[in-house]
Amino acid sequence: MNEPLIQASHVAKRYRVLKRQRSTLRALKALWGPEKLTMEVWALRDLSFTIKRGEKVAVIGRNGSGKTTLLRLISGIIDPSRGSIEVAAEPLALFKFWIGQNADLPVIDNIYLFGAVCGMKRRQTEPLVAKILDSADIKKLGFAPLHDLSLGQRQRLALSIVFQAPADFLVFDETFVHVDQAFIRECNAFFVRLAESTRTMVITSHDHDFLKKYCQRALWLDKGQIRLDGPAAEVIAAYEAEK
Amino acid sequence: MATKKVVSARFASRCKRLTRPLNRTILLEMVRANIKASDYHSFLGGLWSLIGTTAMLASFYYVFSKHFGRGIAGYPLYLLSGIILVNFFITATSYLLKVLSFNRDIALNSTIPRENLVLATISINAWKFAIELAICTMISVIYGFYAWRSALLFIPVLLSFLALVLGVGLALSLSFCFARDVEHVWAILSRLFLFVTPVFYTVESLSPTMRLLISYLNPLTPYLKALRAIFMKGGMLEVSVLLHCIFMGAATLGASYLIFLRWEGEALDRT
Repeated sequence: MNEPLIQASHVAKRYRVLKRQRSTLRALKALWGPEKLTMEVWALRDLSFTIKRGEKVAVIGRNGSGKTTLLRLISGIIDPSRGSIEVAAEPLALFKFWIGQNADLPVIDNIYLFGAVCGMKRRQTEPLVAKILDSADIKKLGFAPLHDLSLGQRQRLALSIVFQAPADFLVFDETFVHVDQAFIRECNAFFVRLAESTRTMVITSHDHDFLKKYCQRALWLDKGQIRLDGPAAEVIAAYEAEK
Repeated sequence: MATKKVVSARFASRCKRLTRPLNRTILLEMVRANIKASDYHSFLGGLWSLIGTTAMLASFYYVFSKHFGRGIAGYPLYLLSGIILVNFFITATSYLLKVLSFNRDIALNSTIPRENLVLATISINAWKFAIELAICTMISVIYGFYAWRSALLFIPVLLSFLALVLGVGLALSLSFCFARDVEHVWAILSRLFLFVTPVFYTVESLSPTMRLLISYLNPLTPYLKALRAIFMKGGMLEVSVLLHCIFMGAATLGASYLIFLRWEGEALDRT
């Protein structure tokens, strides 16, 4: 339980973004001239922290503070521009619930597809299909193309699959926004089980009550740097006080 | 030096990730989904690509058989093998060209390896190409050209051809992120391959200079020679042609993959 799962040392992440409207002339000038078409934006600067196995960590901060970038680094989706980040296990990361689904295919095919993304083989998913459809409240829609479902139904479907996944390390980025009241019960049951388990979770959300309930620790990011790292209740209280 | 370090670190972590059993499951499901979705809501489904190939074969045969087909036993098979090879190259690279920009959301918001996106994209075309190859094999058997030892040659020739297509596709997909013009340039260039590859004529019918250019500057020529040796010469393939194919495929994929590893981050930022 006490062994580190994530070790970040002086991590920084830089993006290059266009600084002016792009035109052919400017692009050609940038190729040969001294004036660059892009400028550097540092999303994260000099972050060092350790997350141990079994910890449930909330990442909070204002929009643009670097939360999603940090989760992408943790998930191994992008590499740091400076410093190093070592992650001992690959997480099940959920950034946008429609990623890993094919809208043209029937719901059942998507359960297998997204199930694979969540680490489940076809034979593991097969006995869970009915349960997933039931949990997402779309029992009769198994053969409907995914694009016939509403966004809310697609979100419930994705989360119902995630809830069945055998992952030991979970990363969620604002995944539970807009979940309807009826499905919140399912979500709470999942998080209660998760909180009692030895699984690790890193999550971002603007729902502070939810974070206080299920996370022991919080990292407050401000302009790409760690402002405060400590017990979730204290860090969230400090963040709310400043707002 | 720093670039070398970055690329080798990425290469090591990717190899580890790509060879995990879980990744094979994801790739398999992605391929299955892509193939299924490619013919979704279509009455004739995969038959459309066969209809297209047949129409092309019929028109090429009608136009070129009198002039170029004389002296070539099994000219329809000669044409068909050329058409399917060049068509696969053109369509697969055109699909791959947009793989990074079209899948940017997946590439930046999921742990699905980017290589899976590339492989799943090419799988649709590869599946149709495999069916066309099976048809060529049947025609070859009917003509009495086919020898069963040819089946063994299929493996290195096809694997190296896929490597070539993937290599070219990876390079195109990266460059497309930086400049959309690549799509237009490739649309023009790729169509030229139908004419600068000996699809309907023989290399021997060309002038010595052209013969040299088409044999060594056109990457598709050795693969077409190999394919025709398999289908029309009972697998009597020159070793030099086979080595040319293997070298070309391995070098293109190797170089493109290293460039891909180095530039993928910047390419996704620019998309």
